[in-house]
Amino acid sequence: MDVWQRLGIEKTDDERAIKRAYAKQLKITRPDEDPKYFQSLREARDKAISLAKYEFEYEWYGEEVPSSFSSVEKGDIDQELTSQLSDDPHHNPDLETEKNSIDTPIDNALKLELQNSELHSDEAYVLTLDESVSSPTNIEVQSAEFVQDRVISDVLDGSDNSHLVPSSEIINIKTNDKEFEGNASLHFQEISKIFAEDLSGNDFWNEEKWDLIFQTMHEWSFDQKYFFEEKLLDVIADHLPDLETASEADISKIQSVLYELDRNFLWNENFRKLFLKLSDEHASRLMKLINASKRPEAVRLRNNFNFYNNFPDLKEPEFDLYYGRENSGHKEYYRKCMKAGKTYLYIWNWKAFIFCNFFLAARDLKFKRGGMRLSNFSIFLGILYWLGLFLVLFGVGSGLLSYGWRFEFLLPGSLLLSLMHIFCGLWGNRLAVSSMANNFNTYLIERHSSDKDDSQANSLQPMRLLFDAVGQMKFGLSMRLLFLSLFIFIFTIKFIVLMNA
Amino acid sequence: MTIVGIDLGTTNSLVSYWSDDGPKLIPNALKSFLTPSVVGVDDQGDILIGEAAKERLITHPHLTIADFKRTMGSDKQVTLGDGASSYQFRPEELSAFVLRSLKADAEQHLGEEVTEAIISVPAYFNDIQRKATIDAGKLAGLKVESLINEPTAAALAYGLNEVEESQFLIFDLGGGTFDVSILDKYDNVMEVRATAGDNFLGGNDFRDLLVETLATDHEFDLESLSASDKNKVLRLAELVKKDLSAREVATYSAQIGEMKLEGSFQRDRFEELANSLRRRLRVPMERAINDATLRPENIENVVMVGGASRSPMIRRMVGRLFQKLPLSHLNPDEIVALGAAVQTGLKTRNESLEDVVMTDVCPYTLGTSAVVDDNYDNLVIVPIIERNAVVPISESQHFFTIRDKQTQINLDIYQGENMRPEDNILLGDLKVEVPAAAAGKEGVDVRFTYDINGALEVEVKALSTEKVVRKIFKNQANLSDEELEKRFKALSGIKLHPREHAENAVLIAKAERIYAESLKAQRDYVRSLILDFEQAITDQSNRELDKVRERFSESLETLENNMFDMD
Repeated sequence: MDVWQRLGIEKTDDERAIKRAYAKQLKITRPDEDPKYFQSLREARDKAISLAKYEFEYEWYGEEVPSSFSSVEKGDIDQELTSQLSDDPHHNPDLETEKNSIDTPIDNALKLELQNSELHSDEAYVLTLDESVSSPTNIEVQSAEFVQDRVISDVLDGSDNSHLVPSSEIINIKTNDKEFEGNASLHFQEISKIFAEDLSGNDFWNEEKWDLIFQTMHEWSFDQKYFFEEKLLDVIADHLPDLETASEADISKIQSVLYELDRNFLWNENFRKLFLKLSDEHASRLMKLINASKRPEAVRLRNNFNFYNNFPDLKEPEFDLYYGRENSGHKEYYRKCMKAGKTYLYIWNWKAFIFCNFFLAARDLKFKRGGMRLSNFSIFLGILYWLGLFLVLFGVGSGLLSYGWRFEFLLPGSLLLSLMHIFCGLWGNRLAVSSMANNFNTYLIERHSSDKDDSQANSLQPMRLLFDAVGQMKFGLSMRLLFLSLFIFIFTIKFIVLMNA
Repeated sequence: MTIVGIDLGTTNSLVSYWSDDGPKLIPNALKSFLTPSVVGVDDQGDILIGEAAKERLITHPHLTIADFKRTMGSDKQVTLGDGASSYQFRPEELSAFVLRSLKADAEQHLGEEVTEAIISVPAYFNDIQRKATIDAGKLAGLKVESLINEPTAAALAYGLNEVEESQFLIFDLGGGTFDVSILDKYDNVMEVRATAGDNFLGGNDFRDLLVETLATDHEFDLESLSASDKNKVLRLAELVKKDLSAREVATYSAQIGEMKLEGSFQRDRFEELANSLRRRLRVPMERAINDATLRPENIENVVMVGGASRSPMIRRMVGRLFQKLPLSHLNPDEIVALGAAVQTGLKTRNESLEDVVMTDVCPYTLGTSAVVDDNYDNLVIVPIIERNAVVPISESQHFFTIRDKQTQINLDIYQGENMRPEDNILLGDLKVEVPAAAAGKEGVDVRFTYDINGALEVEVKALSTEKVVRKIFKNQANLSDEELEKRFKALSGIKLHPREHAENAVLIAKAERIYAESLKAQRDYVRSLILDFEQAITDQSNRELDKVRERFSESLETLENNMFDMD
């Protein structure tokens, strides 16, 4: 049963309709009546909503400045708030256009409410020591509380009642919130200024400046904070040190700043946000730096930094999300191997496969023009093959894997080698081995002729025969059997060793 | 049989019920809806609860205790009284006394026996603390089948009639705890999207901040004061704090023991001191918004709940954060109890609430410790139920053995967000046997089921043998069933101060407190008032007694107003 069937509606883009369908189903079967049904219903709804909105499950912050603060639309906010107040019978439309030094929409709303309330006459908010008096429910009084905060203290004359300021004195409201002086959109200009001036160039990670920023950040509204984050992510990529080349000193310098940033913006949890905004490489670099800064005493940044060990979040399905591909077949097997802790088993299969291929490829090499004239080049190519084969698949591969790299990082290399296999296969066959065998045969013959010692020559007899066979191109079954048996032998030994590890 | 809703708060507790006209609060013997969460022992060895006990915090500090909600979930015992009639109480038992008193009030008001209740807890209470609350109910003779989260209760009370469709945030700052919940109401479905909080942040922390500042300003050491004087200082700080809500400068003058504390406190200064506390308030809000995957502008309303949310400093902070006026036109002290009453109506599927469905979330991640990714030396948490998952929910995960010939798998069940097990709360453990085999060949399927009442059931099935071990486990910190029985019997034997005499008890206790705080001539005056009143209680008929009581009460009021010279 797919999600739309479960919800009982047609496939739709309308989130509201999905919620409505969910609500309808919910009333028929309550959560406590059938928990399993409820769970499947809820999962269906979540999937449906994510399908309706995005390809993936989570919604995160977009790239525009939150529109409520763009200067163009600020006027609309004022309109909206004042129109909300128009239900108030005391609302005076003539006051809508009044502007003064404090421009934030909240202040406007409060001023309007206060000016039109009856409280600036004789009613007052009385404090008694009787703690059970409940607070006034009149919203006008509550907004008066707000304005009171900003009132210059000489209004209070020390009597029992605190009088509120008559409307004429509201014009010069003083506030200690520095962030809210002046135009709201100015704050975003100020934030942009921080990036343009304070944090520019080499000074980006200056700790003192960041301390100052963090201190003021605690006073910002959420929208301002996320605007800052967006701007920050736009520029941070240019200032991240290269993990391979940077010194420990460089990295530890920015660690405390990154730690604070992570604490404020929860990047470690919302890494998807980072991967959306930054390139993969920069995002993963940033993640590594953040996690290094969390446990500076335990982590040493090296090339073998294990990505997954530090982001246990990054398992399926996030894994697929990160790489952007569906790969369920290998995913299952991969997961099984991960669980069993035997990644080598999986890697070995790939290695064995490629190993086999290359042996056969080497055998099949042939140049269009055969003969000794090209033998040097073909020898060179052959040696390249063997070297490549051994180095990449056995030496470096095992080494990297033991450090903790995942086979995905080796896969491109292996694929490349496979491509080379096809390429050389197209070139020809019998190239490397036959030429090498010929040469070695020649060498042996020459040696044998120059060396009068018979016994030595005799001991080389089997090898000669072997390479004679090779040279005669009776490769076929013998070679395949030989190498196949070699391979199985090595494989079995390794397998047994691993199984008992 | 009416189920009652109870708000068991740090400072005050309330009891309520659902009627056809909506949720209703039940008054206590003093005709007030709020019963202070204070427990004390009176001179006869009976237990005093509420206002009367609160008055005795200053005069009999060794016999009275308040603010015990924060110790729920621990086994910290409190000794009340000395010598022969000394009692040792766990926090569950203290809460149970308060619940008993509320139960009596409810039975008096409704005219029937009350056996079941829904109690509110902070949304961020962990499993142990919740079990302790249920145990407190049991010790009071109440069956508590389910608890309700305080912000959810507030949302129910607020959202039932006030909104049709909206996404709103509940900001619940009580005496000792802070909760944030984000809810979505549509089509009569009230859905909690996310919840976060801080179990050790509340109005009392702001008060304590003032206490520290007073101690520094007037150069006295709080710890060296007698318990009575300490309580006086707390009370002074509380009054200064409340006064600063109304005015910019609060002047105070009080005699505490040997010291005369006089001075004035600026609101600006208080706000600056409270900076770090205010920052702590932001953290759960951001986390909740983050978890609900919302932008702050999606939140249409912010509702302030809890006594401490009245402070203009807090309200201004919230208003600024969300760029909107926070709502608090419902009484922040009463809203949680009203919501609990709504929940009782929902539970009994009352006709007037037939259409409403509420879903809640579990506030903490639940998981078990395991090794991952070949890192056999490091134990980490593998989450099985993520936080803010809608309950009821059931999820499972596979785990495998890591050593050869392993015959048993130990599962430690943790609640919390941190990666390392030691940074989380251990709820319990389970052991399951598996047949011996090579490492990684044998495994178990672990299923966590979190039901709608917040009870966690763990089911472990060995994959090869299909053997199942199921457990609804208890933690060692909570009481076992036998202990619960034993304590219930013991508590039932303890007498509560008679309810009918509650009003008199409060007045006398208050007068005694004022007596302790006064000096010289005033003291003599108060003493004569008290003696006259006690005489009147024994002599006169009921009607006269009411008048006498009123006069007595008024005199005390006047005296009190002149006491802490705050203006």
